[in-house]
Order: sequence, then C-alpha cells, then structure tokens
Amino acid sequence: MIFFRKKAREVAALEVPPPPEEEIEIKAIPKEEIKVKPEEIEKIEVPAPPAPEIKPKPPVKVAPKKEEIKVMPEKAEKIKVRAPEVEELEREIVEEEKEEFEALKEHKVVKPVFVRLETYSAAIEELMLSRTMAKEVSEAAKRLIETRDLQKKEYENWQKTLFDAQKKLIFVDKTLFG
Amino acid sequence: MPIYVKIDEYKDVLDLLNMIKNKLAEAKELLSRINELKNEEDAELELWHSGIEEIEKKIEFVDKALFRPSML
Repeated sequence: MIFFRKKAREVAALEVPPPPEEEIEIKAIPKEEIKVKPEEIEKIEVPAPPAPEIKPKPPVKVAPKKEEIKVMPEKAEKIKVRAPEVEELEREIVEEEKEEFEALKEHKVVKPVFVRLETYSAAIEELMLSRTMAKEVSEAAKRLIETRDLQKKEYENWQKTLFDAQKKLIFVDKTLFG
Repeated sequence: MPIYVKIDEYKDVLDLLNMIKNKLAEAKELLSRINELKNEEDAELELWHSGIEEIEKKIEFVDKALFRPSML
C-alpha cells in the first residue's frame, strides 16, 4: 500500500507536456485520388529493390579426376586387393539370390501331379490310338498327293489331246471352207 | 484303394495337348478347303465332260454330212 501511495504522489508531481502548436489535421484521401481498386492491389508489381552487388566468388577447387588421384603406394596395394574381394562377394550374393529365386520358382512351378492309374491307362491308350490314326491320315495325305501328281499329269495329257483336236479342227475348217 | 501315377512336367503335357488341338483344328480347316476345291473341280470336270460330248456330237454330224449323207 505504501508503495502505491508513493507511486501516486510521484505521478501527480510529473509535469504535463505542452499541447502541440499546430493541430494536425488528418484528412481523408479523396476518392478521385484512389486510382487503384482494392482487387487490383495484388496485381500491382512492386519494383524490387536494387540487388546488392555480388562479389565474384573465389574459384572453386575441383576434385581431381579418378586418373589424377594419386594414391599412396601402400594404400593402392590395399585397394587393388580389396576390389576383387568386393566383386567376389557381390558375385556370391548374386549367385545365392539367383539360386534362391530359382528354387522358389521351381517350387512354384513344379508341383507333383498325380493321376489315377485307370485314367492314366485310358489316356495312354487313347494317345496310342491317336498316334496310329495320325500316322494313317498322314499316309493317306501322302497317297492323295501322289494321286494329285498323277492327276496333274493326266490333265496335262488331256490338255495336249484337246489342243491337238483343236488344231485338227482348225485345219479341217480351213481346208473345207477356205 | 486307387493307385495314382505321378506325372512330371504336367504343364508341358497340357501345353503340347493344346498345340495338338490347334494343329488339328488347322488341319480340319484345310481339309474343308480341299473339299471345297474338289467340289469345284468336280463341277468343272462335269462341264468339260458335257463340252466334249457336245463337240463329239457336232463332229459326228459334220462327218455324216460330209462323208455319209445317206445316214442323215
């Protein structure tokens, strides 16, 4: 409480600042002066402030190419030894994966299929019959082709005979009727 | 008790059977086409036959007219 009273007294002792000599008049912006519509405000492009001058960067040191890398002789020997090891390891991994994949594939594809003995015997019998019939049909086709060849020859002979008859008819026609 | 027979390469057998079926269908189509051709050939032969017979008749007529007019 004492603190508050003291504070109040101090505040009362403070001098009030003098009023301003000229009153500041806040005028409203006349409507004619507002040329930009509120929806166009977003579209207005405000020119960007001038960019600060960029100082050229110091030249970047490019890492030397593989050929240019100079390896210490003792390290180079180690690297030479390690590369085939890695290759060997990778090859082993690939082989393992391949084997596994093949095994999986085989497991998926090859399934033991069992057929009843009676069905199997009937199928075999039918298959044998089909084979015999196919052989017979094939022989019949062969015979037909042979017959066709003979027929072709006969047709040729027939054509020749007809041609001869035609020639003779022409000759008779010419002889008789000039 | 039924006895079962194990069939290896069951899938291959099925594929082969399908192939045989396709070949048989193809052969059937070809046979049908050959049959059509044979029918066409038969019709042509029939035409030739009638043509030959007609020629024969005409020659016979000419022969009679020229050399055996009494036969007419």
